[in-house]
Amino acid sequence: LLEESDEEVFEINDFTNATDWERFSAKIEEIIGVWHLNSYAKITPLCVITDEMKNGTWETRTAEICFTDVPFTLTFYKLKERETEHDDLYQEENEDGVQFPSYFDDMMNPNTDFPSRAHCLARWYGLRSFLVLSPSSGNESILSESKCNLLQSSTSVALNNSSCDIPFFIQILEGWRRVFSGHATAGGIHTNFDMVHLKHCPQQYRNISGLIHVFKSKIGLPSLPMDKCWVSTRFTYVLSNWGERGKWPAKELQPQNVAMNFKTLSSTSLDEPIVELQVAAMWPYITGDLITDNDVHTDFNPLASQNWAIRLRYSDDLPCLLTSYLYECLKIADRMETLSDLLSFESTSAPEQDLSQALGKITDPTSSIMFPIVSSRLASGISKVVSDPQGMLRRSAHSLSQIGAGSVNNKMPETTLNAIRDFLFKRVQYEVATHSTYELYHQLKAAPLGSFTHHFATCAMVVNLCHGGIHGIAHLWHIVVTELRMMLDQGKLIPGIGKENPDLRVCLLHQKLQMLNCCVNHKILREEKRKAASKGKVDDLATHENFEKNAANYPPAHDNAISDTEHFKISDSEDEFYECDSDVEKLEEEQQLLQRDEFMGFSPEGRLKQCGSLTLINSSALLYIPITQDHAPLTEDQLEEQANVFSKLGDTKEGSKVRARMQSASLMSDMQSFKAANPGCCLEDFVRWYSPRDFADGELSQRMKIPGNLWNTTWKNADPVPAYRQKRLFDDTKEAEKVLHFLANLKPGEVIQVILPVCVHEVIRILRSSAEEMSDCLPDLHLLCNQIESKAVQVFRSWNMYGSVANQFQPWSTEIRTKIEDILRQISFTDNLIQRAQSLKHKFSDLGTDSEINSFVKAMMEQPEINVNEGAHGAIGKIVTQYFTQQSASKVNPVDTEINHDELPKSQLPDPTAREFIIRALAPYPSSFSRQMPHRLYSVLMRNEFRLACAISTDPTFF
Amino acid sequence: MEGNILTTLKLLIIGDSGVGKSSLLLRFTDDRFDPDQSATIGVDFKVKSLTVEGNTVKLAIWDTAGQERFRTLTPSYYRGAQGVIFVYDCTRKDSFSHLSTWLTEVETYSTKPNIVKMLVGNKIDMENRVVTREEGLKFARKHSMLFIEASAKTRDGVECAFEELVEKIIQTPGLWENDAGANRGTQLNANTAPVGGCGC
Repeated sequence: LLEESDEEVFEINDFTNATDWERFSAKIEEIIGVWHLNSYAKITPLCVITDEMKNGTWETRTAEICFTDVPFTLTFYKLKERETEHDDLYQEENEDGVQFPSYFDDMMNPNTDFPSRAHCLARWYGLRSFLVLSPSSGNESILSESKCNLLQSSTSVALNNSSCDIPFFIQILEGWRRVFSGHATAGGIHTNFDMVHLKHCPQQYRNISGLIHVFKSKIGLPSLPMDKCWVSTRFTYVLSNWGERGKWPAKELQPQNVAMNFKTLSSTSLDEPIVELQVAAMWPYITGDLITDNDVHTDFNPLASQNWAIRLRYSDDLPCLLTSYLYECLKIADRMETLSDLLSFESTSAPEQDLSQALGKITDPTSSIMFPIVSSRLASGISKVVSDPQGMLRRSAHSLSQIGAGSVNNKMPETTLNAIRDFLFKRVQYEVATHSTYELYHQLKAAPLGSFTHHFATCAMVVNLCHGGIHGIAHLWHIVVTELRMMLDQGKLIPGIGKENPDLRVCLLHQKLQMLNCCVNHKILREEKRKAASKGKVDDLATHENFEKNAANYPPAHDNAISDTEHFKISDSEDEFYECDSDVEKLEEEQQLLQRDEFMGFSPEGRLKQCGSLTLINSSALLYIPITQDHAPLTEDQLEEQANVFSKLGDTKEGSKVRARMQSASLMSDMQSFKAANPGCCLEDFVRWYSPRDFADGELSQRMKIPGNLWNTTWKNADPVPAYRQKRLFDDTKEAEKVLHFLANLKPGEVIQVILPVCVHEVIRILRSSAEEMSDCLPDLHLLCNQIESKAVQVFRSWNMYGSVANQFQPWSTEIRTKIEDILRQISFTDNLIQRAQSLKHKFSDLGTDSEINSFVKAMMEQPEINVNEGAHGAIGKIVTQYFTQQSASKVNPVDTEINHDELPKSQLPDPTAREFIIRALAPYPSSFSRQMPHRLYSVLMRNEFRLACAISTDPTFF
Repeated sequence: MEGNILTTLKLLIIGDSGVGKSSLLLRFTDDRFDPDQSATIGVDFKVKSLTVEGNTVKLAIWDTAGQERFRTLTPSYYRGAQGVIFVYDCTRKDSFSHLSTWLTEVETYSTKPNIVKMLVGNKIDMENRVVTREEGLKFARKHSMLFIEASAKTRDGVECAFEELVEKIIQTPGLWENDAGANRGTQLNANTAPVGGCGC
């Protein structure tokens, strides 16, 4: 090994490599120049602020260089300086005129001991800036000593030439061993940084007296007094078993509860987020004569140390349920299989048959088979997807997904299918939040809370995670599409969707379902009308007879004597209005009542209400606003298609005309209704209601008077027809078929894409509520949530799920996918953080008041390591010691426990997993009349690893 | 010529009926004023290329009808728009006081959170002005909009309004770059996809 490489490095005489060697050296010089490291010493302070090393941040610079063809990476590490009056310090220390390089101070300053987060070289040598040359990744390690020496000497020349006093290290041996050989030169002083790395520690190096002995002999002063050696010590103890009291999740998860709860997502981790707690007991900077630590006795009792620090090691790959739901969605969102690929139907339907056709056949009212999914074959061959519910959730998220995807037959048990169908279409009490304000779900283009879409998305996430991944989704989607078809055929509204027109602010799926409900609603109203009309045809009398039966002696009446209430009753059964809601109907009934008073010309029809007190221009009759046909509801893809058609007409005058004509259908319809409601009216009357600004001073505006303008011509062509007798503006039958076709054609992977905004919204909502709960110990959590939210808003608002043709799903772009992955990473990070904090809070819930617990958790979350006051005797130390005691008790087997009964309650820490020592001395080297030089030895002893890192400085004067 | 075009921007003109939306657009695209411009039905559409600070952009401008009954048709056109022009008539107070309703619509339906809004007070050539320049300014400041007064009839301020708006859009990061996805609807040279009925 390299511990013996103390020999002079300038002795290399091998000039066969001269050119490469020189080139390499020049290259390093060049980089040092570019990085301005040649003047580095002048700006480096000589003093380190106490905790600068402990919690500071590091900056790095890298460059690639080659020695012949072998690529190396040169990295410069530097602790970021704080903005303080470093210059003053430097000058003060400089007064005596001695030009010691700054790394001397780094080596000797106890404030650099045991930084909590730093490069290993910084930990071993206390350095705040250094250069490292290592073989580029994937390249061969430097295994031979001659190779190392060659590199050493070339870099040494480079450093000397550029008067750079920064220690330079070369990584040697296998990368994982982290062995470096280094050197530094400054002001004529030379320092060698050497290292010993062994698997097992030689007996004599196990304690401080042995190490000091080695150290002294290294600097050739075996007789150096013990009080000239300064020793810092740190022992690390690991707690990895939290016992019943501390384990997280605190309660055993019931897999069945997670898998069969379709309503809410579970938000816990499946594993312990905090893998280890490390306690470091420290004895800082004491002289060697004050401590005894040898083979026989040691003064190092951790329970007596006043200097404790604790740090946590977290699970790298923590399976958090909340995140898993989304990750599992992402996994299958690109799958291209169609529904029929994934579901094996009975052989009765030909394979080439289109699914919607198949569905149509199945749901044909004459057919008795309602649910192809629960066909006999499937029912008989129920194989359990969730075959091992107990073990399921205890495994990692990875295996969670495998349970579904790995099942051979990919069938969901009938009971599960029924439970889901029951849940979505019967059990849920839908309470759709109706917000006039602009809610998060609008921003995210998700779906209203409590809506069918919202519940469906949640259910889909559960199914995907726990019931067979993409096959589960295929089954679920099949259920939904089948149910929707049935509901349409039976004229039933989808629960939790409402009857409003599609809301363009929410996701495409919700819009489509709204559209479907609009269609069903129109259908219902039309059916009612048809029933009423067919009754009406028999005779008005029939109604009246009916009425008589019900309401005693009143005469059947077309006369005015009947009171209002009775008229309502009659009207109820005469109901023949086309598509208007009930309150409108009532209004119209009133109008009908009125119209009976004023037979003039043809009788007015389809009045909604008076338009203020306006009267017709050509008569004294009141002006009525007609009942109009609603504009055909459109979903955003249809609107987009329309916009495409319009824009393709171009911006010529002709194009404009065609566009106007295409859009004039509703104007025509409104004009017809108006004419029917206002016999004897003229265009002026219509304009006064429709576009009041175009009627002023008793006449039409200029633009309305233009001969041949579309308003004018449409008016001329409009016959008085009340809305209910007009050609329908909205063909609900056709539109409903379009929607169902769209839905039935979605591949299960696409279903996931369609619901993804809703899923992410739900997860963000849960994170938000956790952030609320944890705000005292994780105050930054809401900032993380804000970040996630604003990213998600950007992505989901600009994501078009359709192409230029309506009802055609367009899979996401890789750009969208990448952005969503990014959001998921942030969600996962946040979820992780919450789990860690919750776990820690649980473990230390006995610490004291809420605020004490919270500030402890906050500190642990924010800092890599915290100091513990009073060591084992402080509040934190006591709890930690208890856990340690518990841990060692659980390791002792019961028989032994009996024997050691008396000693059990005694608190104890296990053997340290790591012992670190730093020994320093200022001593003349190489000879007794040299100047005092700084020397340092770092040693770490672990179970399977032993390392010595030694820095010896040489005063070359007289040599 | 196509090759030099930086991007295609989608703009929208909204406001009460009769405030002169179509006239402003006609003045801008054709530099004409047509007293016989008929009332817009539904939405109309014009294209124009514009060079601002050396960048040529293609503008697809959607002109909307102001009538209440047509308003349900327009929200879809807000999608993907990078800029929106709110027009009111300086001689009609109500057209000014309705602006907040139009603002709500834009906030509700626009898909771009940083959409650029411009307020234009039209018909400053008329003598019976009732909305002062200060009122317009104040409203624009309150709602972070660009503001200009204009006259489609005398061409005052029209060109400038569109130029300012476009310049602002180009300067707004993330509003128009890499917009192929969201902008699909306004691709003017798309003549490939077969298109069925318009759905109404």
